Amino acid sequence: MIDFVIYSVTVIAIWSVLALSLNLQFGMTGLVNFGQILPFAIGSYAAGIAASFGYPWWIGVIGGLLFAPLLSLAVILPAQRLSQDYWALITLGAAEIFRLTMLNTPSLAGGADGLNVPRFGSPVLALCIALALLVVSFFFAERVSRSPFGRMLRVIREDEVLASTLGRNPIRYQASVSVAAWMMAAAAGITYGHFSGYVAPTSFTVTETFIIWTAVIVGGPGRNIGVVIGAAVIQLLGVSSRFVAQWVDLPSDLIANLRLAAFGLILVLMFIYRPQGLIAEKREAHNVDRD
Amino acid sequence: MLQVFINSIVYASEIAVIAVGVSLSYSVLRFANFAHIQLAIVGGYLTYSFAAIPGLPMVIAVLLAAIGTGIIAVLIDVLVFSRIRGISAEGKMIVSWGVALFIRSMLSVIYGGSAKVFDVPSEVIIVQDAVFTTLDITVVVATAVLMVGLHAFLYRTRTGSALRALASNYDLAVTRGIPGERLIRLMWFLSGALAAVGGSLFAMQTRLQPSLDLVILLPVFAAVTIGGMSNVFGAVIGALVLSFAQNFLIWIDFGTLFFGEPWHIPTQFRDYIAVLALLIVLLLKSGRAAGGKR
Amino acid sequence: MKKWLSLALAGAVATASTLGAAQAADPIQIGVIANLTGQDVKTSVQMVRGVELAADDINAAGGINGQPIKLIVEDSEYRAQEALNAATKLYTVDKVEAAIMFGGSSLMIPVAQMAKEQGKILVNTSSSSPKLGEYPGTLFSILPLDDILAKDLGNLVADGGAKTAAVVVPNNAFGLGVAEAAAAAFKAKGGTIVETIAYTEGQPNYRADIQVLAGKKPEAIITCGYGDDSRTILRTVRELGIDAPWYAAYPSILEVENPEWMSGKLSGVDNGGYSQGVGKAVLDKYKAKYNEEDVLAHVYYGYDALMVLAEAMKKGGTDAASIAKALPDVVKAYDGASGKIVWDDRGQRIDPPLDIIAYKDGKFETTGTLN
Repeated sequence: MIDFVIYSVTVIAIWSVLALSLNLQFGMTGLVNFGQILPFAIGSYAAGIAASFGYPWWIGVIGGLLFAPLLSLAVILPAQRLSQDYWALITLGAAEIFRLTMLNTPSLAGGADGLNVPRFGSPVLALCIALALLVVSFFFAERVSRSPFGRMLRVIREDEVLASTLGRNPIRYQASVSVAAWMMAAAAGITYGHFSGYVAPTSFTVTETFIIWTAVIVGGPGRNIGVVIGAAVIQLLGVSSRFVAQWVDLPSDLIANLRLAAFGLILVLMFIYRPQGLIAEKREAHNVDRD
Repeated sequence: MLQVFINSIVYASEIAVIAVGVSLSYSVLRFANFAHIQLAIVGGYLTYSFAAIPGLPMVIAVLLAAIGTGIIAVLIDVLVFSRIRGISAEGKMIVSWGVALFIRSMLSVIYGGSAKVFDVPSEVIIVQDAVFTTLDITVVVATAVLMVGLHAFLYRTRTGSALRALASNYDLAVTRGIPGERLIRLMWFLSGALAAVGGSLFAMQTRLQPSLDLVILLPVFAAVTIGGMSNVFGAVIGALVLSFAQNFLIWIDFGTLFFGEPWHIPTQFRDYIAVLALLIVLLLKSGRAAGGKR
Repeated sequence: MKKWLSLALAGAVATASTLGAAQAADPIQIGVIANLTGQDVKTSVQMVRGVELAADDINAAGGINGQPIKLIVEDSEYRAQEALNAATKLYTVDKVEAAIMFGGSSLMIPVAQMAKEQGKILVNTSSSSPKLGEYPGTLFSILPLDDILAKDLGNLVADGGAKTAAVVVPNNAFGLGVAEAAAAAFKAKGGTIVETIAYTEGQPNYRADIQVLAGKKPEAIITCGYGDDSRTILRTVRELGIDAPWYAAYPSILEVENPEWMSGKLSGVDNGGYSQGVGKAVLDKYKAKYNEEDVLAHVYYGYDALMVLAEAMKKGGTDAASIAKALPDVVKAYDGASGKIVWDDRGQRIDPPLDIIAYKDGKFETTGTLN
């Protein structure tokens, strides 16, 4: 049992970091990133590729942490003049391109077969690293959130023109946030690669991006503690529904589908009864406030 | 050449009807409605059920399914989306994902997870060296008729004009006395019915599976985006652009053209072409939108 | 936040422990992981049913030394993360010693690594990646490795008289593995591969892919793939007027789209031994219990997977280490629904009984055997 708790908390910690990263971009800055799985995949693949070429683990770490922010700039700078709807599709497209590239380059990334990654020595070590990463990410996100920089991010989120009239260049803020957020997600990806011991293209589809989004929006965009709780709720809902399903004596494929239906239903109900998320963002008044 | 042209037209028709519904829905509701694609699958299953009634012609089955799906779409609005009109577009998008997940799972519960196939009689027609089927013709013609009909409705009727007014500026339209909520219901019915027909045509050509929405999500949204999101008929153009790009780029023998050795883009890069077409169109837009409009 | 988390976790723990207590008594629990939702659902569900049939048979015959078998079936949603969730639940909460799994290598390998770490057993019924050989003592395969079968397939195409062939396979480990081995064997016998098409699974339309074939005029088409996709592929090929004969790895898991057109045009190498003995009995039980005519090979794999596990538990003991030790010996004496099982020293199935089968007038006929 304790093994299961260790495992679950590790998974929650990793996905929380991803959710925090998305919260920096979307919750605070208003960047609609529908390819949030991309930096995560880059991190995982960096770990996998480093291992497959026989390099030590820290080469993968450096590779992932360098490549993800570079790619974030490559995605955000050409797209800067587009509205948010299109931004969502650009990031979604970028994530798909990365996945398809990994799928179709067997010599580099193992193709459909994927790559093995050395696993952490023990589940407890994995837990410690994941928790450490979560704590660092959390305090970093909190720090950003409370700083004048973070307040300016919220201004950009609400009104880019207003931000410009205040003499700030929105794209510079957006780019800095993306770089930091993508590094965070890449770190989560590296950890995940070593935790699961394997990377393959099927692990980085649009579905995974949606799960991160669900965590952020259910938890309450804009609040770091909210999105961590969101990630925990999503994972625990998924896992605990397995235990409930086990009580029901119906054909297994029927139960599997009912479980997912219940998941969808709960998601919808949460929005109807708690549209601002579990932990709502507090409205703050500052001298640069919108109204 | 003629064959590739035909293939492109057929594939474009298959996705165009669904894509038009997505952009109609987007133009009024202002969020990417993933549940819409799932409604197409629901429509396909309803047609499948109605078609099983002995003696019922396929056309009637599709019409019944369209009405049924329209009603389901309105129900979704009443039960879910009308209660969350105030939340962010991203929130609604996630909700539509949840709705789609729910419907997909319920379809699996009712019909089973494995694929169902329509038994539609179809003759092969050969023109010069090109081969196509009577079903292909049905799909293309039905799509064309639907598009013309929808255009006539939106541009020739009062209700259609009101819908367009709603799409271009909701608040203004409502202050001018247009019954916003009622029209939104109508829009849901219409897009649901449209999705059902699109989904049925699609399913007749290929197959029916609860998770089919995840497969057509990318081409449909690519088509809608290339066409300009809220421009309803832009989605048709988008579908054509996408389909021609995919079919021709894979078919063209670039090798002989440039190096004298036969070589073409491997077929596993088909998805690349869809995504790249999407990105290129977006970046072109980005260049044009330099003034900061939209 | 801590309070929240610990509360939620406590809930999960309490749920699990009451469950554990209720079932800790007599039955021996065995896990099953399969993608009951998502992709390849049909094949996956049939594998689970094969396991269920085996459990029925074992329990009817008195269980494992008196203890009945209880299956715990978990859904993997065809996602690696969910497969890991499912496996962790089975191994650490339900404390199963062994699990039987359906899923591609992208799901199977992470679970195999976890099973190895936990010192548990995983029986593979679906994935044929060569990487699975890296977990001896943990992972045992009921499904034969594809390269042996694919090599025979390549020879079969060449022996059929074709000089040129095209390959049409799904773009995954299974498809590419078959493509590579079959093409190599075909080329060794002087054949030429004129085109290789690796299609993305689950697409509703394959015209753009198949169109490429038309200009190449291959004398034969080498293929493999799962039901739903193969159906769409075959249909597209028929509609585009490409008339070459088909040679398939596991033709019986393809879904024939138009029996009339396909008759006499499809043959290939398949696992032998379903048609008689245990295989026939399982088929009859399957049809009676699930009222379904369309049976895929994975029913037999699922059935054999649980049967050999149960035999090993009877002989060696019910803990993972004893099972791992007893399995290779048990398998030697076992003649199952999918024929005799021969393992290499890593627990990978080699040298399977192979039949050449051909499709004629709505059903497959065995036209020859290879072993």
